[in-house]
Amino acid sequence: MSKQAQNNSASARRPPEEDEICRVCKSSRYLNPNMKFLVNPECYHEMCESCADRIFASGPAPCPYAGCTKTLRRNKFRKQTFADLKVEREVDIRKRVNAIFNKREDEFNSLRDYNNYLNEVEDLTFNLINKVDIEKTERKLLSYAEANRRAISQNDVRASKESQRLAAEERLKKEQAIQRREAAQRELDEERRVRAEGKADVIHKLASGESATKVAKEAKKTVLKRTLFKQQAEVDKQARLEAAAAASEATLNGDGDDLVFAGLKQHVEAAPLRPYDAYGGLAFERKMSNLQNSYDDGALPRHENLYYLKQDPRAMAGGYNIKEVYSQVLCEAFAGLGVFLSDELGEKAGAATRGTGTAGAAVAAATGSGDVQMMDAF
Amino acid sequence: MEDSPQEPSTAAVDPTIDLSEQLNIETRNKYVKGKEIGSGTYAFVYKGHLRDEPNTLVAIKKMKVMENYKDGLTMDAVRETKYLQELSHPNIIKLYDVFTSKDTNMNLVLEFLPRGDLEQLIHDTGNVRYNSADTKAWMGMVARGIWFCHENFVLHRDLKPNNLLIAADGEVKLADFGLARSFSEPHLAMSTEVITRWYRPPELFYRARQYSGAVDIWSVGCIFAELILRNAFLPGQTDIDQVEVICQRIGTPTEENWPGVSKLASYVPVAKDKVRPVQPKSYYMQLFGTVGPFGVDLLMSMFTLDPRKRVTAKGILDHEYWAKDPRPTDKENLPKKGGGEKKMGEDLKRKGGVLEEGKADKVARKIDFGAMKK
Repeated sequence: MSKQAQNNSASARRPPEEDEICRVCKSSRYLNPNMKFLVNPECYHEMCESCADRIFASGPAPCPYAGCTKTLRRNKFRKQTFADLKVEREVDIRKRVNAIFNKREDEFNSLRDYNNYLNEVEDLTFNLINKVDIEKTERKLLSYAEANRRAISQNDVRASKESQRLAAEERLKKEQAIQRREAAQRELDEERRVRAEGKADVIHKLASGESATKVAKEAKKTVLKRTLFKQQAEVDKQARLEAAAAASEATLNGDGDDLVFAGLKQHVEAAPLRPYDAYGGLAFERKMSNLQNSYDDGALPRHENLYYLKQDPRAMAGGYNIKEVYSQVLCEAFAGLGVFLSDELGEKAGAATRGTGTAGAAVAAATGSGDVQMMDAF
Repeated sequence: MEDSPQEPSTAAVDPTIDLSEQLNIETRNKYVKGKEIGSGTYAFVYKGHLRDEPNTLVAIKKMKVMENYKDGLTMDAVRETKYLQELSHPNIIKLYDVFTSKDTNMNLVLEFLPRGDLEQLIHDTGNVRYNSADTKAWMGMVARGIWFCHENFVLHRDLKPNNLLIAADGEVKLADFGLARSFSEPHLAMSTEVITRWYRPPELFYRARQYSGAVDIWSVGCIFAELILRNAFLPGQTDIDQVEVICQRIGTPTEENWPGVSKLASYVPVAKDKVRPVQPKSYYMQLFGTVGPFGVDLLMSMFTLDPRKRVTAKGILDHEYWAKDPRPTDKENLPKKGGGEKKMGEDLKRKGGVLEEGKADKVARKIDFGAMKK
């Protein structure tokens, strides 16, 4: 640990005796055992409750600490949560920033985007905490809050509903656990009672002079009956529990006006249903060639001549399509003509070399309006 | 990867080796090969991911070196590489990269499709339920895929439900281009020993050496029928039996409904009294009525005996069926079944053109390459 850091932590934690003295009115806990210390998140200077009441009773007033120029209000004073006021301040700042930047992961297209967002937020937070570029950061924060007010409040509502639901679920679970425990206890008592009764019955019967074997047999029979009864009860209980669970689920879901449906994608307005495109948005068009119904290839030798193939019923009956041959040949011959390498290279090179790419495309557009630019691809 | 697993790509490259070798090493080092998810007589399939982005999964299909192809690569491997690298469409499995390992093994880096295949969904009648809107959505994706192939002059020649893999987002993708080829040069005879039997059109049984995209359309029709029936529509036991089944369920090919059919090499004339007429629409309505009259129309046009009159892939997409109710289900909402990576491994390792059932089917189909050379 560096010396600097040691100094910092030493100044942050004051000796315990000083902790008991209000630095504004110098009264100590010895004289006033009910003394409470308060801080104001404007400057985090602490003072006792009576000082805060006294100084700020008639409206806003400057902080009584020497050299502190902040104007404070009574209603902003509160008890501090953390002993270290630095931590107190950081937590406050984080609370404030998080209330504004409350976007969730599912609002982003990818985890990377979300992480970038978190990084940006953390930068802002860091600046605020360490008082770097405060004005600029503050401005950024406020303008963002202004611009995204609706989204922020929506997310806020969403979060509070979720926490409500969670709390309700928690409560329900606890209740169910209590019920289960009580039911088990009741059952145990009942069983004990029945067993005791049975025993007393047997003794009574033996005492009144019945034969021992008969009594034993009867006792066995009752035991058997009891187990059967118990099994039935078990089944009933299971059904009852399930019904109760279903009912509580229903209450959880249908809770009056604050209806929350799980799994709903909120504030994503459904796009109007477009008619089904069987082609999936793709289309082919042949710009560079025009397919004719027939071609005269009479000069070609017989084995290359499609005319003879067309006359061959064996080829035709198999479904062979001469027009497809023409189409393929034309496509393979001319499809490349519509491709300007410089354009494609420009697209590929992307933003970094956009200058050269568009320059190339411009050249291509200027010179290649009618004829084709031949470029060596290899 | 088995060789040089952790070396960074650039540092490992020896400046003395030639450029293609350097590129190969670079490509190989781009991926990390994970566990094996399937292996067969034809290929091993591994799960893998990008070295730089472990979340981007891929399937790596390593072709086995075949005994009788000592000098080079198997036809299947060449075809698959050749056509997949040309085709880039949402309904066709994507080939990212190709590299070799240990000098002899060819590795295809393919899109990772973890949701099994259409065959699983069709035949798991106990757990998977789907309706006519789902059927329409799947058929739309299949039709788009095959349309794209044909538009780029590629015949798939092995369409069947277990070659239709399902991506994580529900998109159906054509896979296994091991039997694919480009549209024929005129006068060049094509092999008729293609397409798995149940999905093979009649012209191939009659050994027409010149054919067109219509052969794939017949398969698409069989897939459509199978989606509706949840059972193969034309399950022949042998090639001869398959022709018989087609005659029964579709109709007997004759000169009337298919001019020139009797000239085909293996056409067997049928006695006049044995000829079964082409089944009327009422017959199809009875079997496939759930997809509505327009769906039945489309199905019938795919099952046209004469390949010249059979609907084209573009014709399928232009059909009224797509515009009618019900609207096809969005791909996110299609029924799913977790076949998982294992199933993808099984699908990719398979050899083309073979049914999976039965002992005899383990024997790979003999493809008549000699005939192609004339």
